[in-house]
Amino acid sequence: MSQALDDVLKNFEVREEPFYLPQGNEIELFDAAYHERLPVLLTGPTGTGKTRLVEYMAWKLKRPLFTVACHEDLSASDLTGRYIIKGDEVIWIDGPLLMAVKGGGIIYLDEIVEARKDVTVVIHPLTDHRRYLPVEKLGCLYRAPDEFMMVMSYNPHYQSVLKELKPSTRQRFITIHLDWPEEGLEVSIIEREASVDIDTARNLVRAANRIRNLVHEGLEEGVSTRELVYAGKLIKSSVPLGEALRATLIEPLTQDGDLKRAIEEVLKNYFNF
Amino acid sequence: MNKDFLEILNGCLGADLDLNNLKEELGIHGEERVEELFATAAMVADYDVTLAREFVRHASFFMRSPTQDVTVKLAALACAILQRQPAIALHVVREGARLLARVDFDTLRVVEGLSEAISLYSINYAHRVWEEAERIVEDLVEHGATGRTPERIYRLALSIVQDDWGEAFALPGKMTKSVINLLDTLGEEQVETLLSLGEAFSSAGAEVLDALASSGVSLITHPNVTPEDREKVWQTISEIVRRSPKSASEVLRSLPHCLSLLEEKNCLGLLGVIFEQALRLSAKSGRLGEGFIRAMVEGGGELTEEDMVYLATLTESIAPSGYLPAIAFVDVSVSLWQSLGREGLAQAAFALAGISRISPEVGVHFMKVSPGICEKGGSRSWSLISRFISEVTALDRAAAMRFLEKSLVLAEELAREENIAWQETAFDLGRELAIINARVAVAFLEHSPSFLKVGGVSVLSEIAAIARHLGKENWSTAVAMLSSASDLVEQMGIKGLSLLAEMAHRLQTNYSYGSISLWAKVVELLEHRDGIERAELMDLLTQVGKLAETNGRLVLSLIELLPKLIGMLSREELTEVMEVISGAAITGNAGKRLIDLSPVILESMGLEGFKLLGGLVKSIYPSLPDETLSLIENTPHTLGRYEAIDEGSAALLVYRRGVEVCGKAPRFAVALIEKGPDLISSLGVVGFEIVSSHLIRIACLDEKEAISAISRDIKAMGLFAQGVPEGITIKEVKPVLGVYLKALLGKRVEILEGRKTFTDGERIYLPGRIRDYVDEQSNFRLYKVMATLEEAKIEYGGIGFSVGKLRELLDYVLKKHGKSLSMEKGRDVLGNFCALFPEPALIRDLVEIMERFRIERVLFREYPGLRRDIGFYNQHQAKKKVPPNRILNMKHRLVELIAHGLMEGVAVGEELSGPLREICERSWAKARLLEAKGTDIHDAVRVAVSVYEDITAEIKDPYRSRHFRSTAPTDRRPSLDMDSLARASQALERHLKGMPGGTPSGMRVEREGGERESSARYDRSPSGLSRIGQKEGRSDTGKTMRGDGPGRRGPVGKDSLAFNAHPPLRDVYPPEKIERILKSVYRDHGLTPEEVERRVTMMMPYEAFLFLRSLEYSLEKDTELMAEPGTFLYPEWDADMHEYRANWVRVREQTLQGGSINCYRDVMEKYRGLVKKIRREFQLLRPDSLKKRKHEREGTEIDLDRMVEYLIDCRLKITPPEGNYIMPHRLRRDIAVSFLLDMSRSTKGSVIEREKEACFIISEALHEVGDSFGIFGFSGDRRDNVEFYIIKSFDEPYGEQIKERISAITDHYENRDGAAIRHAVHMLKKRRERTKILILISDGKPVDKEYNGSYAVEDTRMALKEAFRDGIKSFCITVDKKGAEYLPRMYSSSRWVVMDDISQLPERITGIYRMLTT
Repeated sequence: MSQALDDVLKNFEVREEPFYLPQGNEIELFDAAYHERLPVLLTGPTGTGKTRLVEYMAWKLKRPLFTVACHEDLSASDLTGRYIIKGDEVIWIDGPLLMAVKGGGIIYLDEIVEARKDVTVVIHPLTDHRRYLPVEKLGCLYRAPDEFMMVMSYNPHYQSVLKELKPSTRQRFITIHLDWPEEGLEVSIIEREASVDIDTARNLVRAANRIRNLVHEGLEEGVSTRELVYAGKLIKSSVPLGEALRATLIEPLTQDGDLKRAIEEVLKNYFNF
Repeated sequence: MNKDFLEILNGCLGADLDLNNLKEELGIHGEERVEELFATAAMVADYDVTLAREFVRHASFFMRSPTQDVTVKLAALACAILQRQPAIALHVVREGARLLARVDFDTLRVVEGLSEAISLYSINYAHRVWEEAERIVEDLVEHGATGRTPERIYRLALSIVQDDWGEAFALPGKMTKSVINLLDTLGEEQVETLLSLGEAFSSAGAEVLDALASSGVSLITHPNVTPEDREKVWQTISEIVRRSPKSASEVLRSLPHCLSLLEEKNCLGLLGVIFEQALRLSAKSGRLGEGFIRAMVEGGGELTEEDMVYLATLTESIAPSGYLPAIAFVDVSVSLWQSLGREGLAQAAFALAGISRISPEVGVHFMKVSPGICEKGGSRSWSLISRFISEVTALDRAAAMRFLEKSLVLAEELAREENIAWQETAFDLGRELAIINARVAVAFLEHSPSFLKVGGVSVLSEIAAIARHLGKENWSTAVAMLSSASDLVEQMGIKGLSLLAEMAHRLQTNYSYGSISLWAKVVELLEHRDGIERAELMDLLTQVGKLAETNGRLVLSLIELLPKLIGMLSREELTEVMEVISGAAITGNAGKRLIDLSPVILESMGLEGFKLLGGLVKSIYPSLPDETLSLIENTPHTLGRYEAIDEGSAALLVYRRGVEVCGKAPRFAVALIEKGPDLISSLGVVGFEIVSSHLIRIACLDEKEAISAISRDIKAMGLFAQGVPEGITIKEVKPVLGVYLKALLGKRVEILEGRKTFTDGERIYLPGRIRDYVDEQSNFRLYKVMATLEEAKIEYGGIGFSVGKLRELLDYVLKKHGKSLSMEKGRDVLGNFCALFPEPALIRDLVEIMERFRIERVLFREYPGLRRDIGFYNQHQAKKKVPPNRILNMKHRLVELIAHGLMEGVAVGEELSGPLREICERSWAKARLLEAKGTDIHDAVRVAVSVYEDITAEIKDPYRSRHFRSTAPTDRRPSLDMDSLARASQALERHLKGMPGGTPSGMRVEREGGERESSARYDRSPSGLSRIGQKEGRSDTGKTMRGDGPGRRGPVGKDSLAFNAHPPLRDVYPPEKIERILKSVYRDHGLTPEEVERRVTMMMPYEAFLFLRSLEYSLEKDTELMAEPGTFLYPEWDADMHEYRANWVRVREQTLQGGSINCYRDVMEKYRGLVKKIRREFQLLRPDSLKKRKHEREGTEIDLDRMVEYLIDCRLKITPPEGNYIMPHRLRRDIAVSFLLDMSRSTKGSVIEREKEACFIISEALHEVGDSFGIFGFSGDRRDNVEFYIIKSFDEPYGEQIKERISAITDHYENRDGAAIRHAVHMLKKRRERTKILILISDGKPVDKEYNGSYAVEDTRMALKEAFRDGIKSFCITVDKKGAEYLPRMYSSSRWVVMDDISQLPERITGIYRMLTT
């Protein structure tokens, strides 16, 4: 392995231990998948710690982490790499996927359903026994080392029928489902992440759990742990309580007036504002 | 023998008889006789072939009888009977032939006569007569009876057949037994006696004969009875039979007992004497004779012959005064003999004769009690009483009777050692009183033992004097006085009694009833005079007595209420109340009603309110007497209404206003008070203050105007109502609270308007409007707290109370209060539990308080932010109630104090002390146990029970509930209790029988096989029904046997008439069957028994029958459907069987007929803004069509990215890619969507209208975006008829025609969602688009015939699952807010949304669609 690649890989190392509290046995599962060289699909609602889990595992397994946030214009070459013109030269630049394959890292494709369909073409050979990455432009076939791991995330709660993962893709992965953490766990997460006192954290979580009951009632997504952390942070700051909560737990959730009012009333049960 | 003749005979009888063979067999009897016999048979054959065949078959028996003419006679008899009873005729031949071997023809005739007579009642028994006859005759002959004996026996039976056919049937058997018995022991002579006796008695009817047969023989066979005595017995019985057959049979039946008793006592010798004397008496009355015999036999051994004759003579002397007394005398004579002796008895007879001459009833009664009196009071008491009775009877028979009723007790009391001396005095006084009035005397004597107990003889005479005084004018007052005198003397001394007597005397002159009830009421008063000194009481009574002259009724009411008032009020307050009352006394009836209602008023409004009302009454009565009266009478109701709207303390305010204005505008004051609760409930307290001051100002100027203003609709008050807070309505808060509650609870609860806040676990009832505060925020806070408190009950174990979880407590309560747990209709489980306590309201209120406290604590724990709001709410609630210190009922006050102490933010205002304080503190301490986590309502009940026991142990007064107790809102879904089922089915049964009034008397008809079959052949037409009805009717009156045993009743026809009207109806639908149908109909169709009953009772019986029949049909499950061209068959998932039912549902596809296009225009008008907005949004949704496609070989622009790649490849010397241009391209979105609308009846109204609007709007939107879509509707009725309406197929363009069809969407029948989904999927599957979507819009649960509940849910779920398997994405929009329990399951393989408010559908459907497809 070249020195240059090593340098690059260093940049992608997770140096400090990310804070992560396991909900269940996801760490063990992830760990096992890594050692068995199986790809992992993380599912679950927004803000439940999918990304954080991957970061934590990368740190734990001491592997460089290549995170790709997928979007609708993301194409296969964005993942593998491309030639660019530099001066009058043409230089090949490795894409994150190729880097991960070469360096034995973890590639994390966040929100995979958003990506263009041709992405799956390059993913598929990497997710089964073949474990190679064909790079057409280079005319090469890169075999993935044992340390290489593919992780994708996918939120099945999106309502759009067009944004679903094809069963053929889904079945190639080990699926780890992350849900909103249970109360006690989520409280310690908030307490730690937002550095708020335990009562505030508990009230935030309890209120969130009540609000989460409203999925199917017009709320597209429940309150995420991330939003709770934000709320905690704002509460701690000098922003008045009511505004802090409105900005984090009401406005981002819905535009519907009645829904907003109802959520506000729920929050009022926990916070005096 | 003539061969031809034989052949003819054979031809007549059929070929099955081998006559030749028979002839040979009979040959021994001589050919001549055989031929004659056959000739007879041929003659019989003319009448009936079967009979003739039978005749021939039994020929050999006939041959045994010596003469020919018997055969002929028999044949003639059989033929004669044939006309009347064919079945008997066969027996005559069959059995008769056999019998003839034993008996002569005459006997046979008698047997035939009996069987024929019985056949009128029961064919079956008529047959049995023949069967038994053979055995009977056989037995008799075997035991050596002559041929005539059977005949005589059967004659006896025949003689009583009219009287009792059952007995007649049984008699030969019994007689035979007796006869055989006699034959075996004593010989034929005795048989002769028995039979002649029987003949002699036969005129007296079946019972006597039966008795003779069963018991009479015991006398004849008794070895130690002399023939003379026996003769006397028979003589006597014959005499009795003549006078009273019933007595005769009694005597006969008791004979064995008589004989054995006499023999036991060793005085069988007296038998003759007894019966001889009895004969003497029987000449006067059969029953007297019977009674004498019974008495003498019982007393035998103690009386000599001489005594008996003496007794009979005495009895005879009484008889002229009446037989009944004489019988009574005989009955008791033996026992009186012992206690009074010979002389005494003579005296008794003399007295009795004297009494009976005036009143036989008294005489009889006197005799009945005499032995008792003698036993308890001795002979001295008896003679005193008898003397007194004789005198009183002459004066007043009724009094004498009454006296006799009490005499036993009286005798016992007076005969006590200490009273014996006074006996005579008492009776002397009684006799003296009797001269004035017999009843007074009786009452006096009746109570004299207690007078003696209280004060000895002096009191006795004093009371007698008072009684005489009162009784002179009015005996009933005197009687009433006497019945309470002893209590009164004990409590108030004889002086008090005279005082009251004086009062009564004054009262009785103008109000006699009052003077009577006065006594009872004073006694009641005395019982309740806790803590009142005797002197004080006398004082009060004197005070009250003064009122007696002005208004007698007032006095009574006051005395009646005094105990209550004394318990409620202090001495000073009592005086104040008395003042108010005497002030109102002049108002006559109004004053009286005011007193009557004073406890209620005092309790609700306190003394202040009572004074207000008193003042009001005094002021307005002179001008408006009637209005005043009704105002007072309505007061409790009015006050109740304040409490019902939870505004208990507002009443005072209204009355204060009334008093304010009553001087100037009395009518207006009355109107204001009457309208008070309405005004308060619609305006709120603040609003009332504003409006009432306006109105009062007007009333002072123009009373009429003010009255008309107040009587108008509150809303119409317009000007006056300015400034009245509008408040906030449930409608406004529902959208927010609904979502809020869903957030808290995780499931939907329905919010409904109710009079009280209440929850049943699925619904929360809240008041319709809250206007207690001017600002909306505060009113909303109240709403929110109410809703949250109810929600918490659901979430934290406040509902679902079950007695089973309180086993130990329940045992304790059952043991302690000794009531048993009973379920009462309209009462919940907790109510049933509370009913176990002596004071259900108290325990109920305590449970409520404890539960409320528990919930409050749970909420504080869970929602720290809510504490403030709850405190705010509690303060508000407390303010509305009557403050505890004004509550007069101690228990009520205590309960209120406990409640206040447990309510956040409410202070216990009163300085507590004494036991009240201790109870409160103990209760609060107990309540604190409920602060622990994980408690539920059962813990609250435990605490409440403990507090209850504490309270009831300390305070004895009855509890007045803190609540105006209203029953919980009834569940709208009717529940099916067994009661209603049974009730409905009985009602239906009665109705089917055509007799709605009552149950039929008479017997039940047993069901015969034939009837069942015929009923199964029913067709559905009424004519078929009546035809069968007639047929059955005929068979009823025909030869069907009724009843399965010999009944003692007349001919059956009369009874059967009652159900002849529609006999088959009731047989097809016995109650059990009706009940079963009702149950299934309820289960499968949701039709309640009451509903069925209501429908059916409007119908004619046969219509009702058809209706039931159709219900039954609808319950029957049949098999797969057969194919029918143009329709589609689908399977259905049966969750119970866990498999598909193949070809189970038929879908009929049809294009919906278009309607008026106007509807389209209206919708476009209504949603103009929305449609415009949506159109724009959907235009933007066409990214695919606007998007430029890259990598095209030719196009309008250069693709820069590609160009770069091209250049790179060129440098690298690899083949560059082609297509470096960008081309704008119009592409269709690759989506096909089906909208499937529920067009069932339940969508009628707003749902279907919104569906229609949604169709227009989504069509406009999709038209814009270009997705291919179809709109379909479905409804239908039963599985073979699911209507699938095509409103827009995929290929039809959205145009006028489609708009017309959408306009025509309307509700039809039921909704069988599964089938409709399957058909929609079937259509979608044919589409080539890559993305296929099914959007189902329904209003809730699928329902069709035999398609509901979990079956329907599971099938729908399965259909959606199939869609998913076929790659069709489904989305369900429903408006069923209560669907929380089944929606997640039904739509588990689908996306779904509950729409809170159907009016959002048109707006939201496009949003949903957009979200789904982008």
